[in-house]
Amino acid sequence: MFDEYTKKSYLKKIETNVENYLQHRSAAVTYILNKDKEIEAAIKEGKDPSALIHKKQKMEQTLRDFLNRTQRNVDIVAKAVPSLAPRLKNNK
Amino acid sequence: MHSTYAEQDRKTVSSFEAGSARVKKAGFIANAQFVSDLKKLESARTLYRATFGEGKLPQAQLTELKRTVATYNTSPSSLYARRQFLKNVVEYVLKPLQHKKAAKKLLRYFQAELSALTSELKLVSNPEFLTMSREEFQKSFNHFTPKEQAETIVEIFSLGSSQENQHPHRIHLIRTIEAATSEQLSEIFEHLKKPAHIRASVLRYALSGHASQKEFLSALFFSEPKVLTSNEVADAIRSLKSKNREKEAEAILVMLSETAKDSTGSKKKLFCLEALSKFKESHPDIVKNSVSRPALTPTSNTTAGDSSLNSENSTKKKNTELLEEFRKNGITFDSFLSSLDSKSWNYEKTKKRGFEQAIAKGSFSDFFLTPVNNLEKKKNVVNAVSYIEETANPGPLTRLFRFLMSLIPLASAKKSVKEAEELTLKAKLELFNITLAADVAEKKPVEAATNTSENTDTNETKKDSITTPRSSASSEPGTPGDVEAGLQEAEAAIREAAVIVANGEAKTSAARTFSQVLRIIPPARKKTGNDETVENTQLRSNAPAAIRPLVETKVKDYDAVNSAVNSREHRRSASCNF
Repeated sequence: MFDEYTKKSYLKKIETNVENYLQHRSAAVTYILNKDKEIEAAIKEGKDPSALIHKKQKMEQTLRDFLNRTQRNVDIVAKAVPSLAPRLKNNK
Repeated sequence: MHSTYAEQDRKTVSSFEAGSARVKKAGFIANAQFVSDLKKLESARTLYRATFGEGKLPQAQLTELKRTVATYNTSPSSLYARRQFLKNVVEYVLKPLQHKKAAKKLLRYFQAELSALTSELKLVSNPEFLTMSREEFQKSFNHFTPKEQAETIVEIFSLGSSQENQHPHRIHLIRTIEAATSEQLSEIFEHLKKPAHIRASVLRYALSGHASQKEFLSALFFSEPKVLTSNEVADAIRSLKSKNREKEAEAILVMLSETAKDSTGSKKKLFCLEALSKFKESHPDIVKNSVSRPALTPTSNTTAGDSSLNSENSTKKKNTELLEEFRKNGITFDSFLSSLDSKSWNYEKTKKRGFEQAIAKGSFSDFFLTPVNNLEKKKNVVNAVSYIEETANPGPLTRLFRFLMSLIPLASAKKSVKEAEELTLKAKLELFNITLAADVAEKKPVEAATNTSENTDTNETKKDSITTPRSSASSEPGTPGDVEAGLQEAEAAIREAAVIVANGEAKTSAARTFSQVLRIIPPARKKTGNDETVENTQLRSNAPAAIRPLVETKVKDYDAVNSAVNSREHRRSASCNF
């Protein structure tokens, strides 16, 4: 129902949004991984790591909730644009 | 070298085994014995092997274990140090190894110790804490985990607030809550599920301490995961009012109104509107006075914020009032529609100017009185609906538009039959399109799902504003707040992408429906009523379930329009003003 130009324009917008989504999602994952390192370092230095662990767990929960909330939309986009599907579905 | 190590290992293993055997004989592991056994062991690797068999235990954990063993042994008077030690041993050493028999036994022992120590540490049950100062209390309280803090709050508050019964630390606790950060409070609320009256008290104290701090309120109300309901916020404001905390209540109401107005995220907006609405149910005057908004209609005194809070029950009444106003001002439906066609109304260019200014002035007459009539008005109506649905306060305006659009068959009955039926069908299909897009994309569409304009430029302008990232996510994330904000942005981005997809699908579907419906019209024009053609029947049976009701009503729609044109009475109604 759309002409080629409109299709391309829509596709470009979807890709931009997906990039944005992936960037922020990986930022959250990086944050959690960094916290892991900090926890290890704190233990080595003999500091109390519980605050760091709490923060990490909180972020993990936030990320889990986020993934649950966005799952449906991710599926819609992945189905419509198969080329984006592998990256979208790789949550690691 | 190897043989030396192996020899040492054997010695220490046998030494530990001897200790372990003694412990077994005693029936239960004794803490002092365990510590002394640990001290005998020199190599961390050997310790692990001796205790749990082959495998790897990170060096860091063993160092920590050794350090905390020393702490535990040398400062038994420090309850916090002891608890920390026990926690560390349980969390980092024993839990990961609980499949090992020896570790399981130790784990049980340490867990029992830990729970005993935790209850010992509870503020309420520990008499030595009863005389502590506020600072000391605050310090101790802040040492607790959020769960422990919530438990302490329940224990202290459940004793009541009367002078005779209240807990000696009640005032300290209230001051601590008033000084707590939004993050701290969110965590406490996460664990403080019930009783509800204690949650309400905590919220009231928290709000009274920070009523003027917009950022604090925002962080608390819109925290992720959500810890407060709009009902609770409304109750808290009500409660502040009843406790003569007028200023604080007003400040929160203003914050909620402003957020409802400015917020682009539907969740925030919805939360604020719900809270205001629930509060308004008991204090209609307060909300009205505290929220200053531009008026919506030419003569009405109601404000945008107020109007949005009206319940659905009053919609009919509002519509009738509007109708009366329009009639008084000589505004016709056609003039209204055609005004949207005029040069003063251009969705793309005057999105932020003309239309909003008209709303701010409380006057639509500039838009109503330009006498231009053509089929293009449909597009403008749809654009206007899109615009209105994406503004901060869509409620009353959307209702107005839907009401006006419901009059399209009547208003256009004086046109040719063809014009009338096309207008009717197109308008209905556009509304159907909007609904469908919303259904597909999200149960509650946020912004873009309402944009079904045929104008691609409009779509693009809008999408650009959403898709451009607010902040670029770097590979090194900053504070948890930054990451959470990033995730919110990501959520909006993927939703936006899904809405684009869904919009495309909805448009395709609606266009298909439209072409199907148009195919019904010619036979329907010849044969009306129940005398249907084979084509109609086929269309009906082939139509997808979602659009079948729409397809099935088309013949009737045509009849309605047709009879309206033929009926003298209807013709009179159609040509008159509202």
